[in-house]
Amino acid sequence: MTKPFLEKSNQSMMSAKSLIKQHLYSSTVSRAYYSSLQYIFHVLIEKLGKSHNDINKAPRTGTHAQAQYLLELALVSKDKNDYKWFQTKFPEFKEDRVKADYHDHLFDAGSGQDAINTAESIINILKKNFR
Amino acid sequence: MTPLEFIQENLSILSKQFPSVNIKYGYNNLIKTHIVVLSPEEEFLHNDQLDDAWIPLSFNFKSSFPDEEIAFVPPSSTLAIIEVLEEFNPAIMIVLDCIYSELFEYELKYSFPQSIISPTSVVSRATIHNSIAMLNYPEQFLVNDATDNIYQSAA
Repeated sequence: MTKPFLEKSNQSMMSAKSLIKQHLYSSTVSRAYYSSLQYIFHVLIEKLGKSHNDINKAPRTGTHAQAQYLLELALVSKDKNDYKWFQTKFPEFKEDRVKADYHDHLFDAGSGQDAINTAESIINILKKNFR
Repeated sequence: MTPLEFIQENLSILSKQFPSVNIKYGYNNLIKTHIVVLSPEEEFLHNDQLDDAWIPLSFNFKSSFPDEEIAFVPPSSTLAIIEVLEEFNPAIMIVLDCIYSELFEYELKYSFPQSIISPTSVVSRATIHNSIAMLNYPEQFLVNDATDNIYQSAA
């Protein structure tokens, strides 16, 4: 059975790792962020049984915020410390992604690598809690 | 009740429950999120009672105001509050600043000893003489060992 968001998440991570080698750091940050977001979609749909409607027809400000909210509701009951880390780290990552895509902020190699590390950490925490 | 009123009211209650926690509130325009910074870091990381207070508050806010986002973060977070809109228990930060500035000052004043203790003060002249003799050439100490003689002649 195909798991489209898992595949998308893997592809985004491969893109991020490829982009950093080409010194395209803003794009690296953006792709790394989407890799973690797509993994969140994967968890919501494949592990928690949410539908696309649950995520897209959301009461919240947007798809990203709704996905974050739904995931946090599930994560807090699994591991409080992981929830605390996630609810701090994901908005930080979101801010970096907004800067990378919409602002004149320039990212360096270190920031690009940090973004890849953050995405991998988020994915690992989700793998741990939603096997 | 507006989101701001909700936050002000509940953070005020939280600050009274936890007088040793400094609470700063601001708004991050980049990600359209209300930011609450809980200091010091140790309280955010290890105070379970504080967790039990702010985590339900966070979810309560999100369910009451679906168009608003909120994040509770430690002082080390990169989520900057450009303008602090509210601060609760500011005194605790003043106390901590005083303690840390004193420690920092002490650290600056402390210096490692610059001189190395003279070996003559701890090692006898005879010991030094023997040590120098041993360093000169190993041969003179190996001749008494028959095995070593074999190795030496082979070499």
